Amino acid sequence: MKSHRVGVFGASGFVGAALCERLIEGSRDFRAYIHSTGNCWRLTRFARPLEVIDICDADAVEAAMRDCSVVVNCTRGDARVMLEGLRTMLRVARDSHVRRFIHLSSLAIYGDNPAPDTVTEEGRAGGPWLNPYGRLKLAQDDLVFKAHKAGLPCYILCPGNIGGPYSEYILALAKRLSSGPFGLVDQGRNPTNIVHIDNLVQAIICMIDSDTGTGQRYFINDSGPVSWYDLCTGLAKQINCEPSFFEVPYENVLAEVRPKNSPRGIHEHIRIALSGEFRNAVSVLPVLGWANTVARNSFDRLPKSLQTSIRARVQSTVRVRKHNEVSWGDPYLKVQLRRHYHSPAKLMEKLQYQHALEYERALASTGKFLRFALCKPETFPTLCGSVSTRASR
Amino acid sequence: MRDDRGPLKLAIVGCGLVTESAHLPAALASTAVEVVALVDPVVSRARQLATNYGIGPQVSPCIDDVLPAADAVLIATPNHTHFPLAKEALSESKAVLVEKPLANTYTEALQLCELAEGNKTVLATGFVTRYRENVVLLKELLDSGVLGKVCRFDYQFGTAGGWAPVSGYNLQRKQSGGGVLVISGTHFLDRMLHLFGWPDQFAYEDDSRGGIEANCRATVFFSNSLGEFVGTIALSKTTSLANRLVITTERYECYLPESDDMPLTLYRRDLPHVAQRLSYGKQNWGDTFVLQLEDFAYCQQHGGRTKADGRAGALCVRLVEEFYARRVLMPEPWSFAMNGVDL
Repeated sequence: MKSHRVGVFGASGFVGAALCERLIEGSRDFRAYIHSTGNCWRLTRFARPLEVIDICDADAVEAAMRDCSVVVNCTRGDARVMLEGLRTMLRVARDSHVRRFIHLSSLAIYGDNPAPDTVTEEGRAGGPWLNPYGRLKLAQDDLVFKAHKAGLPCYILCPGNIGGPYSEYILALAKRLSSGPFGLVDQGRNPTNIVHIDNLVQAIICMIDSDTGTGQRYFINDSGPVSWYDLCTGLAKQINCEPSFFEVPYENVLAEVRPKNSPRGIHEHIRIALSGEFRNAVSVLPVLGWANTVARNSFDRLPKSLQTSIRARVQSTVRVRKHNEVSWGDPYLKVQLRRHYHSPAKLMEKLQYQHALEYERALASTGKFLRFALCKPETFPTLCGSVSTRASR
Repeated sequence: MRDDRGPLKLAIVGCGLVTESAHLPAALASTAVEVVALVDPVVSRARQLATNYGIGPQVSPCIDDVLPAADAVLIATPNHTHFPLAKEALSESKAVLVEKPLANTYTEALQLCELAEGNKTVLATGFVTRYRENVVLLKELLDSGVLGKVCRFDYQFGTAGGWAPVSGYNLQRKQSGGGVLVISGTHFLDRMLHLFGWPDQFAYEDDSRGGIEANCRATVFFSNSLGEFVGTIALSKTTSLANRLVITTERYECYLPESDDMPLTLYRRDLPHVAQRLSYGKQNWGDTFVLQLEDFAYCQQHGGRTKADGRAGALCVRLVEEFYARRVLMPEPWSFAMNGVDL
């Protein structure tokens, strides 16, 4: 174990809190920086100091990084925070001679339908299948690579979805499995790419302690490909439920994420501009309200047949959904489009990473947490011997 | 409510999130009270709040300045300040509504009750969920016996995170008085005491490791006129839970969502697929914060006890103290970090 002072930014988030717990239990020297006190409950239970910081505030970031030799960026936020905040952090880290900057990226940088070459980190990120989140994460990666070239040693760690204890993603999946049939794409054959939080944290610790391999992107994943079917049946067994499945056609889900060639056309813009909702909203401004009244009166003076014809042209099609129709845009279906396992082999080879938990132990750990989170009876204390004193009013 | 004495002149002490989002709008919506003062150590915040709502009350950093002009005080400040502020206002014979918890210790809470009773003024605790239609209805049904004896109950309330108080008092036990049990749980503990009485036995555990707990679990046992039954309580600030109370009685399963607006739902145990959604049938039950203030104002002007008075607040503080006194560390068998790891 090496002695670095670690600055964990975004310490109250899911990854940041799990990392801090490991650093506390390992008696490591670290500082926890959070954005808001509303979400820091996993850390307040340790009675350790927490500092609230705005990562867009360069002076605050500078003060925070002053004594840190390693910085771990687990922050999230809107586009401004993710880009401007990261830019600030990278600039200050370089100026403060931080020895390592570890940035959490995402497999989302390969888009919703990754190409076959993305099975290794050398595959091309970006492309037409990127969703807005992937686009932001990729823009962040570009900033980190630039900072590395400018002299700040950086690592980029790329997980997919994150499972394990306290994962709302896995908890929601478990609730879905226990509440009714769950849709599987490609009979559930595709790999989940869900990494257990303790394996992700292990990878971060590995980077904190490593002296080599900076300036590169690394995948982090569980020890081998796990299919959606195997994960779902495994989780269901952990929470004692009998899952049922239905088949979802790959092409239908793919159509949901397929890149649209052009933004909404001129006809669509006119339709929106003429809609009652839009006109009512802009009419709050007196001058536009007046214009709207003038336009409305002019329209009313047109011959009825012309009014009907205009209305027919700008009206959009009404689509009635089938009863119980599956929403192809369901995030738990879209994520099953990924057909490739993103192996952590490079991390293992270059940084000597070893999994904290192999798959079976990881699943067992998740199961124990899920039984707690689902309030199974065995997770409540037993009454033996605790007697309360009767109160009188 | 019509009253010759006019509305109760109310000073609101503490201009944080709960005042901004709930107490002040409720006070302005009610004809029973008139906001005469806003108090906050950050005066600019109080002033901004007054500007936002288009009112012109007295603004001050200190409660002393505003007491002469007020009949009553609403205290919505960090938990550790409830006792000194309430004591000061009660000593001046002002009616006081204190946000929950009434105080951080039972001794302090009792002192406040005695002071209020000695001065014949109203002391109320801000257990606003008592004013929900579904809670009032459930209490009436339980007491009437139509549901039969209680067999068990299960309460869950959990969110992944929560709101961030302006003062940040929730980070320290000395200020907050506790973790999720105090901050989220006291509303339910009060309702539990209200519905079922004082428990005969309990076991309590939480996940505090020196700081304030984020998760806690309790098992409670009751033996009284409602029956002999066990209840379970799960509270979390890290994980979304079902957020409801389920009471199983001889005849029904009663489903009470943790919500102001959703109805009490009963399922007959011999007809479990049929849901009966109950209400009093009034068009609009009303905002619970307004109802709480109007109950408070009415009792101050006409006498009587509010739904959740000082004694109810004190009893809840006592139960919290007893839970913490017999606390057991919650096991976390899923935790790689807690179960020993050499970094």
